[in-house]
Amino acid sequence: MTALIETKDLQRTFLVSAGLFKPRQTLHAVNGVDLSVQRKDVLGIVGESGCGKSTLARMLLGLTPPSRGSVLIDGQDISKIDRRDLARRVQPIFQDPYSSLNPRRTISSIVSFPLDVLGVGTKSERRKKAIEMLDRVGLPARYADNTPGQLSGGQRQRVAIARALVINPEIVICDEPTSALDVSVQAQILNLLLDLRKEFNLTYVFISHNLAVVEHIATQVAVMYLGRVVELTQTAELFKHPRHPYTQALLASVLTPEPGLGIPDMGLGLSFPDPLHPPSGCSFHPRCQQRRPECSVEHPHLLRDAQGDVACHLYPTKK
Amino acid sequence: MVTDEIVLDVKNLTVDISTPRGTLHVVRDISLQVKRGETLCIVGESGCGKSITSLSLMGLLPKTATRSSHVFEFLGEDLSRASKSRINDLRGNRMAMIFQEPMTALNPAYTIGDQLTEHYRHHLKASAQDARLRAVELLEKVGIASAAERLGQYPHQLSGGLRQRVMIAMALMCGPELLIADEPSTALDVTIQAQILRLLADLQEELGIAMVLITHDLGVVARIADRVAVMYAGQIVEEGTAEAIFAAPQHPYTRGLISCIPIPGKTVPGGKLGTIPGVVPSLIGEMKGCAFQDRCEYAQARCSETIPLHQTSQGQQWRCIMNETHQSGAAQ
Repeated sequence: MTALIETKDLQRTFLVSAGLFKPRQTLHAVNGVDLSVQRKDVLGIVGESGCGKSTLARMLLGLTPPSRGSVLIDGQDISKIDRRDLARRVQPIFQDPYSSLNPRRTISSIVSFPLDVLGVGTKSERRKKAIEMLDRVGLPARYADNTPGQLSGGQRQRVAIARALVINPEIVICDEPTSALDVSVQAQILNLLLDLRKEFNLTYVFISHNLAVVEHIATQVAVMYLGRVVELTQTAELFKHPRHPYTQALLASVLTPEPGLGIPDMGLGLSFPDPLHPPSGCSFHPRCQQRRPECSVEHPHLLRDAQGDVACHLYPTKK
Repeated sequence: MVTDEIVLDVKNLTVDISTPRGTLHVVRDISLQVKRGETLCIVGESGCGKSITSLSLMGLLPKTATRSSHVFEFLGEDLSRASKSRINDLRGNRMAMIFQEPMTALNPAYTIGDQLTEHYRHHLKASAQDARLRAVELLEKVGIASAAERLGQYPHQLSGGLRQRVMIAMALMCGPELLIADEPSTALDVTIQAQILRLLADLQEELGIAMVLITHDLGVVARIADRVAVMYAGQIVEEGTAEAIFAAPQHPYTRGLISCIPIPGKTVPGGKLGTIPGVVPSLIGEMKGCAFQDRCEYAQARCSETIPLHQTSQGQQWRCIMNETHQSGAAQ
C-alpha cells in the first residue's frame, strides 16, 4: 500500500547572514528526513525549538520548496501538482489564531475563502457551506458576520479549523494548534480534532512540543533533533520503550500533574547546539549521557526494525 | 524547608481597573499568605487575574488600577501605608520579580552586566567592582558558564533559556526575601523548562526565599508547589497543599481543569478529554454569588446567593455551596 504522504531524503537549507562583510552560511533546517504516513494515521512530530519541525510542515504544505529530496502524496511529487489541486488535498492549521486570520474580514468570508479560490458553487452556496462548517466546529451561525477581533482564542482556532476543512481535504498539517490556548480550551480543540478525523477520514500531521498532547492524539511519533528524525515509532511503543537517549530525555521532561515527584534532571545540559555549527558525528552527542567514542566521529545509521526507526550508535545496524 | 515566619500576608485584596466600558473588578477579595521557604502557586487560565495579582503585590499596577486591602504586610511591615520611596527601597531589593518574557523584560540596548548591577549598586550603594563580582557569582550560581565574559554581552546574543537564567540571577542580586515569578518557564522548551524550574526550586531551598509562582500549567504546579491557589474570575476558588488539590480537588472548576489535561499513561489516547463548557464571565460590574455557576454542572438556585467558604482540618479551603460530603456524593 502506498503511503498517503511520503518524504524521501527531504532537505532544506537556508543561507544565513553571519554578519556584515562575512560570507553567508548554510543552515540545514531539515536534513534528510524520510517519513511515511498512511491514510487516517496521525503522525506527531516533536522536538525542541529550532529542530526543523515548522520547516518540515511548510514543505509538506508545499509552501517552502525542498532543497533536495521530495514530498510525495499518493506517490505523486507535490512539486508537479498544481497549487490549487494541492490545496484541495492538504490544508494547514497554524499555531497562532491571532495572526493566521485576517482581522478585517468576516468569519464567514474567511471560512469560504478556499471555496472562492477554487470557484466552488455560487456565492450564496459558498456562504451556506461555510456556515455549515462553522456549525460543525462548534461556532453558532450568529458569529458568521463578526470579525476575528470579536472572538476568543479558542473560537478563532475553531475558525481556522473550519477554513481548513471546508474544502474536504485529505490531509491536515497542524503546526502547534493548541500551544497558544488555555488548557480547558486546548481540551475542547483536541476533542474536536479527534472527532473531525473520524467523521471526515482525515490524516493529520500534528506538530507540537507538548508530548502529553502528542501522546493523546498521535498514532505514531517522529522525534526530531537538529533537522533529523532520530526516532520514529508507534506512539504507545515510544512512550513505553523510548530507545534514543534524546527521546528518553524528552519524555522525562514531561511534567505530569503528580505532586511529590519533584522536577526531573535529564542531564541534558544547557544549550541546544548552534544549528549553524552542528556537532560532528551524532549531533546529539554533546548532550548525551550514554555517548561512546564513536558518537563524536561517525553519524549513526538509521536502524529500521519491528519496533520502528532509531538513529543511534546504541542500536547498530547489521552490516 | 517551610518555616513559620510569614513573609507576605495579604487579606481581602481587591484590584479594580477603570475602562471606558465600566470598572473591571480584576481581583476580588483574595487573601494570600506565604511563609519563608514556601512556594505558593497561583494557577488559573488567561484573564483570571493572576498576573494582575502578582503586579499588585509588587506595586507595579498600571495607573488606571486601584488596589485596596485590609492587610498588606511584608515581613510585618504595613505596605499599604508605606511611602513611594519606601516601596522603591524594597522593590528589586527585598522583594523581586521574574517576568515571563525575558526578551521584553531585558533592555536590548544595555549589556547583561549593566542590567544585573544597576539595582544592586543603587540599593546597596556598592561599588562597580563589588557589583560585578556579585553578578559573576550569581550567573555562576544559575549555571551560566564563562560568566565574566557574558557580562559584556547583549540580550540578543543569548538563547531563551540563558536569558531566563539572567532574569533569575537579576532577581536574586540583592538577596530578596520574597520572589514573585510570573510564568517563568512558559516561553521555553520543555527540556529547558524543567531545568529552570529545578534551578528555582534549588535556589529557593538554599536561600530560604518565599516564592509566589504564577502559572497556567498544572504539571508545573504539581511538581514545584507547597501550596496551590486556584483562581477563577478574580477570586481564589480553592486553596490547599499540592497533594490535597491534586488528590482530592473540591471545587468543580479545579476538578474540571485537572480533567482537561492529557496525562501519558493515565488518560486514554484518542479518548475524550474533560472540558469546561461556556466562557469566562465578564469582570465588569458586581458578581452575584459564585462566578463559576454558569459553567458548573452542579449549579443550583443557591449558587447566586452568598457562597460559603469550606475548610478541612488540613487547611484545604474552597468556595462552593457544596461541602466535601455533598461533592463526593455528586461525583458518584
